Amino acid sequence: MKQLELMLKLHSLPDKKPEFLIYINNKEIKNFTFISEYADDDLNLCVVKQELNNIGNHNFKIQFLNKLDTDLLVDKSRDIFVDLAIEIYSVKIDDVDITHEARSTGIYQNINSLNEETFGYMHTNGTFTFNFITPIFLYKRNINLIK
Amino acid sequence: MTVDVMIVMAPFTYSYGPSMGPALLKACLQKEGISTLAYDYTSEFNYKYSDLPEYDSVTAWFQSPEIKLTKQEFDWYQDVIDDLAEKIVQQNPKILGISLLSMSSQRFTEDLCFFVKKKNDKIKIVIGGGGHDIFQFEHGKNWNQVLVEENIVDTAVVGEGEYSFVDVVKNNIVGVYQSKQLNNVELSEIPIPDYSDYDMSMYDTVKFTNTSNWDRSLDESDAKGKPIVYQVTSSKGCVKNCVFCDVAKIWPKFRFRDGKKVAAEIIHLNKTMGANYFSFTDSLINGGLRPFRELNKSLAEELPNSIQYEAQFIARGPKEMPEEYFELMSRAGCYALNVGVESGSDSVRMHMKKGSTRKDVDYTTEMLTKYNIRQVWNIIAGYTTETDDDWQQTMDIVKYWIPRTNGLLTVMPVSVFLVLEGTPASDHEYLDANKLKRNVLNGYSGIDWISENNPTNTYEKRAERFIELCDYLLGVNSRYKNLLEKKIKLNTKRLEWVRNEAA
Repeated sequence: MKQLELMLKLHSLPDKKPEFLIYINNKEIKNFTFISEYADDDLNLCVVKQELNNIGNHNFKIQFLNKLDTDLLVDKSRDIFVDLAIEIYSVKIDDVDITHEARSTGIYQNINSLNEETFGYMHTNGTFTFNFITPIFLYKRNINLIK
Repeated sequence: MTVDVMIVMAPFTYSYGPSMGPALLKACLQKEGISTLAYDYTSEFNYKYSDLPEYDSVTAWFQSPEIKLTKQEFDWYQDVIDDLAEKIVQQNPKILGISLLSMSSQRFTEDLCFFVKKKNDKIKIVIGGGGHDIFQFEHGKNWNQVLVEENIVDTAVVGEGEYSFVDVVKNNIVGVYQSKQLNNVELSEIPIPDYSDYDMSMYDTVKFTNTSNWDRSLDESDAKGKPIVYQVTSSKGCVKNCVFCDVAKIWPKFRFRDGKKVAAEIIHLNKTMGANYFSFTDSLINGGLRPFRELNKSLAEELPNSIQYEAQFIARGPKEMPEEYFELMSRAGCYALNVGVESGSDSVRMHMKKGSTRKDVDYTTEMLTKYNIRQVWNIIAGYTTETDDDWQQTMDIVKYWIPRTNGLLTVMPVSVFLVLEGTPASDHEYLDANKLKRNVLNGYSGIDWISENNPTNTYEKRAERFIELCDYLLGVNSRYKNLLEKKIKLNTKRLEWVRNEAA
């Protein structure tokens, strides 16, 4: 079996954390709609590990649920200083890092069904989907192969 | 009904006739009571798809993995493999054997294994042949090891499969399995290939181009009505150890079959299947002069004026191969020979351990012309030590012999010199002795290299020489215009790729 390790960085407000669901291969694996589910550490990282078949097609989806317009705070120069968001921080299959591939080829679709290219930074409610295959060397080969 | 083993030949190879590998392994397994199906997927692939627009790009990628595909080409290819995998799974073999002739079969094999295992991971997959035990920089290990570790292949048989594949099936061997080399007696005892599962009608229409089967390749219209090419083996390994060739890694020792038994196989295929054109798989057919003579003698006596054969050949002098050999070859049906000339320079040929001298090449060319035997010279541009003067000697020998061979000589620019993994040129001793540094581009180490001992021999220079030869040949022989133009195109693409990657 292969192990998928998905690490998300959570950008929280002082009184609010992102709420989201994680699906792996179309099954709900984690439901982070309750504060108690969070692993509380300095980096605000959420880590999910899941075993996958050695060979096959896979996907993971992150569905971001609770962003409101008021959850983005900007200063006088309109620079963002607080934003409720979820960031794809790292994706690994066993010891092979595919973070770059996940960020760059994953599809982030907002609730209006529009795709947003934010390189793995989920700043609005929607679903980030990443499809891949194992063995991962074949996935990497295919990604590099297509023009 | 479940079959014990299904064996397929993986694309990409050029094909003008049934691939011998699966048919031979089928015969070996059936002899031991193991039910086996054998299919020639490489020919099927060529036969079915060569008219489609995606075919050229995908097969170019098989051979040069740095080439990119469009999404459309990639999707088409994935559908093809998925469909083939489905057919395999429907047959439900306990074991799927995949035979790879060369590195050009690796991409297809990776994908076929993926799709088969995805559909049914109970099917055990065994790979074998010459194209899998090859180091890959990208993974830091041999390719077959990667596939075994990633569980998309269960067993990789390194070396000869005629007996070891039977062992793997009977004893459920997994992992990378090093088979022992067969001796001359064992090699002589291998059964005659069993082509009964092949759709022979497929080979009637020749649509492919081929560099080794020159007579058909040079002008595709020439191929119409030509006989199907059957493969036959009279020896394995090579008496030389040329630095650009990986034969010695696969078959360290030269061994040969009894010449009379090889002739008997040819006669059997002629009588039972109407086979009348044979291509020897040998690295060189005249490695062992005694069995080569026996083969020719038997064919000349028992099957006079009935068959033709082609083979790879080494240029030898008159002392080793007096004229009577050529006369006998001619009577036995020797139609065409592929002669590894490689360079016009003795200095280059000696450095690459080819052994043949300019005198040997001249004598061989003269004899083959005298006995009306076609010949193709392989030429490599930009060998490690090659200077401008060496290259000029190559151009000179080509220009000398082309008008003196009655149209029987074809000069084939093979490629620029590549430092391929598994060849002596990739060994540390060679790299150190020649102060040869490799620039690994996108995981590929063999293309962009430079020798500090000969620093003007850059990739650009090698490509320039290669194109100079192609251009000259285009000017003197229009029969294989298409092939030469393809070679120029591929060379130009690769040059652009090297420039981009190196930048």
